[in-house]
Amino acid sequence: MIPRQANLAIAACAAAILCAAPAHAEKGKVGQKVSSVSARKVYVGTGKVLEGGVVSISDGKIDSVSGGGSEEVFAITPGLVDLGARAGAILWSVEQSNEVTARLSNGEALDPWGLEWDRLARSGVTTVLATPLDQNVVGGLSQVVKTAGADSIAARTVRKDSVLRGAMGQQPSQRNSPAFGRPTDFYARRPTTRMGVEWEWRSAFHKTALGQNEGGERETLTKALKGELVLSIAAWTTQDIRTTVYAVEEVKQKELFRSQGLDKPRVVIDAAAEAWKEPQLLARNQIPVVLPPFTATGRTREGAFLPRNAAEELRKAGVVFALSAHGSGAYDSNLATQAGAAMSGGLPFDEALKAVTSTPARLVGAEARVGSLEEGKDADLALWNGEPFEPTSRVVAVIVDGVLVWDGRD
Amino acid sequence: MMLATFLVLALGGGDVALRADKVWIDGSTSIDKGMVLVRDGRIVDVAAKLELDEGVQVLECQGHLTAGLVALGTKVGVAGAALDPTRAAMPEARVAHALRRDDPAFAFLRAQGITSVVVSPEAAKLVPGATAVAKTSGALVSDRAHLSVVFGASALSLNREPTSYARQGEMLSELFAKPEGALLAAKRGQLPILFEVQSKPELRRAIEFARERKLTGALSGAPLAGELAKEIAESKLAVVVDAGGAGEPRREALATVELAKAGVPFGFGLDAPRNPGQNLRLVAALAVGHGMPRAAAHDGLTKAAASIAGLSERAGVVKAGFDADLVLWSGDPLELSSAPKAVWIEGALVHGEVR
Repeated sequence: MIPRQANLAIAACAAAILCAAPAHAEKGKVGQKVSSVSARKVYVGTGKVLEGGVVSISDGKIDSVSGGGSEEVFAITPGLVDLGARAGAILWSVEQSNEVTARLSNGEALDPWGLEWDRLARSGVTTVLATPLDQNVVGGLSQVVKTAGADSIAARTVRKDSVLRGAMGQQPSQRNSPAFGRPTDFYARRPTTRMGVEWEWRSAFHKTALGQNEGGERETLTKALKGELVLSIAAWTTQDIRTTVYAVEEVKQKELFRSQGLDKPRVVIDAAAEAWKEPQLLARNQIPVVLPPFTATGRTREGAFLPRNAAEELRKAGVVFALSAHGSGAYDSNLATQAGAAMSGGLPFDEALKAVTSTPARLVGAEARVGSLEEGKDADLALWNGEPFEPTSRVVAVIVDGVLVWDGRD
Repeated sequence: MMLATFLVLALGGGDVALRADKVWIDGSTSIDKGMVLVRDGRIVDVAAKLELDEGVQVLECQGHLTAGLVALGTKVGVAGAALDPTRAAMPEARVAHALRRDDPAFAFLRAQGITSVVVSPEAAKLVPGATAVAKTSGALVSDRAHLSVVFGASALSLNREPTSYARQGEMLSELFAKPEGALLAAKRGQLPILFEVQSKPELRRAIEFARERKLTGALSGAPLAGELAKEIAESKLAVVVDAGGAGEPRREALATVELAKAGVPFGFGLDAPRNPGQNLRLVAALAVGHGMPRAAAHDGLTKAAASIAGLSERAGVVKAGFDADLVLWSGDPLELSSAPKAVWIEGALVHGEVR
C-alpha cells in the first residue's frame, strides 16, 4: 500500500494507487517540491542516526526529522559540501594584471548554466565554495553557492563574497617569466618563486596595516585580518603550509596588527595535502585544513604526497579538516569517493560524514543553513541506495531547498 | 537591357517605375502586381497602380521586390584594421576611419541583396569605439552610429588589463562613472550602445549594467539570447541575432523564435567577410522553419534591422521618401531557392539585371 507519508512524487496519482506502490518511493518528478522523504537510516550529520527516519520539509526548510517512517531509500545524508569543488574556476575568474586583487569578486564569472553544477549535484554535492583560479597570490572574493536551483547565481548564493581566496606556493608564480630584456606583459614582473609569493602576502598584510594600499584592497584585506571574512589559502606542500602558518603567526604577534585588531584572521588552508606532516603546527594554531583529493599513488599536484591515512592522522592530532574533490569532470573524483578513501585510511564513518557536510559548512560560516539535517535548516538532502561512501553505494536522488533536482532511480 | 537600366537609374535621369509580381512594403504588407516609382535615388510612390507621367520608363520585374537587406554587426571593408588590442578602451575610435569603400567584400554582399551594413569594431577590448553605417555601394552613411561596449570574454586579454570578468565589470563601471565624449553621449542616450556579448551570463550582466544606468541600445552577439527573451523584453534593449552561431543551429533558431514571441525588437547580424552573405537570409529562414512568423523574419532582415542601424527614417521599408534600396528576388525572399535577380542602391543598379 501507499505509505502514509506523502512520498517523493507529491500528490500520489490514481495510477500509483492502482499499481500498488512499492515500499520505496516511485521515481519523483525533477523540479517538484518534496514534502517528506523517509529512509532506513537518516544520518543527521551531527553523529545522530535515525533508523526508519522521516525528514519533513516545508518552504524549502527542514520541518522535522523523526523516527518511525517507511523506507523510500536506504539512507539520507545532508547534501554534501565541497570547499574545493573548483566550480567556475575558469581563466576569466582571476584578474592577472595585478598579483593582489583582494577586492574583486568571482561572482561575476560564475555561469549558472555551466555543466559543472549539475554534475556536482548528481554526486550529492549541494553546496560549494566557488573560488577564482589560483593564478594570483591574492585572487579575490569567493562565493558559497548551491549547485542547483534557480538559473541565477545570486538566487543560489548562500554567502556572498564571504571568503577571500589566495594561494601560497607554486601556482601563482607559474608561467611568470623573469624579466630578460624588455618585459612585454605583466607576467614579467610577477613573483616567479615561492619566496616572491610569500613576500606578496606579507606585503599585502603590512600595506593594509600601514594604510598603504588602495581603498578597495585595504577594505577587503582589513576584513580578512579582522576575521570578518574567511581567508582561504591554497597550500599543498609542507613548506607552503608552514609559510602560511608563519604569516598568520606574524600577524597575530606583531604590535602593528594587534593594536588595530588586525590579528584575528580566520584562515583555512585549502589543498593541504601535506598537512599530515606537521599536524601539531596546525593544531597549535587552530588552523583548519581542506584536503585535496586522494590519488591512486598518493602523489598530488605541486609534488606533494597525500597518503590514505592522512585524514585519520589529522583527526588524531586534533586538526579540524574537510575533504574535497577538485572538479566534477569525467576524470575528476567525486566527494563521496573521497570520503570512502579517507575511511579506507582508517577514518571512522561519522568523521568522514562530518568532513563532507557539517565541518566544511562551518569553515565558511554557512552552518546555520547547510551541512546537517536539523529543523530550520535548508532542505538539502542526498538520497543513497546503500551505506553512504561505500563503493557499492551511490547517490540516487538529490533534493535542494526542498525541490527534487535529480532522481536517478529506476 | 541591363546597361540601359543601369544608365537610366544610375544617372537619375528622370523617373523610373518598377512593376513586380509582388511588392513587399515590409514583412506584413505586400501588394500584388505593385508598382514603385523612383526619382533621384528615392522612392516617390508605391501603389497597386500608379498614374505615371508620359515618358516614365516602366521596368517589368518578374519576382518579388523587397527593401534591400540590412546586415548588422559586420566587419566588412575593414580587413583586420578594426582590431586594436593594445589598450582596454578607445571610446573615441571610429571604425569608419578604417573603412575601405572599394573593398571587394561589398560586392559579395550586394549580390546577396544586402544594401546596408553596420560595421562594428572588433570586440577585443572593453570599448573598441564607434560603429559605422555604410551602403554596400561603399558610401558611408554614419561614422558614429553606435558605441560598442563589450561584456564578452573577447575583451579579456592575457597580456593587459583586464584578464577577468570581475575587473571588466569594475572598469566598465569606472568608465561610465565619469564619462566624456562618446561615453557621455552614450550615457545620455544620444548614442545607442551595442552591448557585445557571447554567453548568457555575459548577456545578463550587460542587461543589468544597462538597467542600472538606464542605457539604451542593442545586445549583439549571443546566439542563444532568445533563451532569456523575457529578461531582454523587460530591458527594452534590442537584439542583434548573430548569424554565425554557437554551432547549435536548431537551438539557436528556437531561441530566436522566442525573441519574436516576447516582442523583442531584433535584426539579423552577419559576421562578414568571415561568413558569406548567404548566412544572413539562411538564419532568418531557419527561424521561420522553427516557428517564427514570416513577417518577423522579413522585418528582422529589413525594417527592424534598419531601425537598430539608425536607418529607420530612410531604409528597410519600401515607402515614399525612403532610399530606393531595392532587391528583386526570383521568388519568395525567405525561400533559400530564391536569389536576387537585381539589386538597386539609391536607385542605381548595383547587381544583376532586369530582363
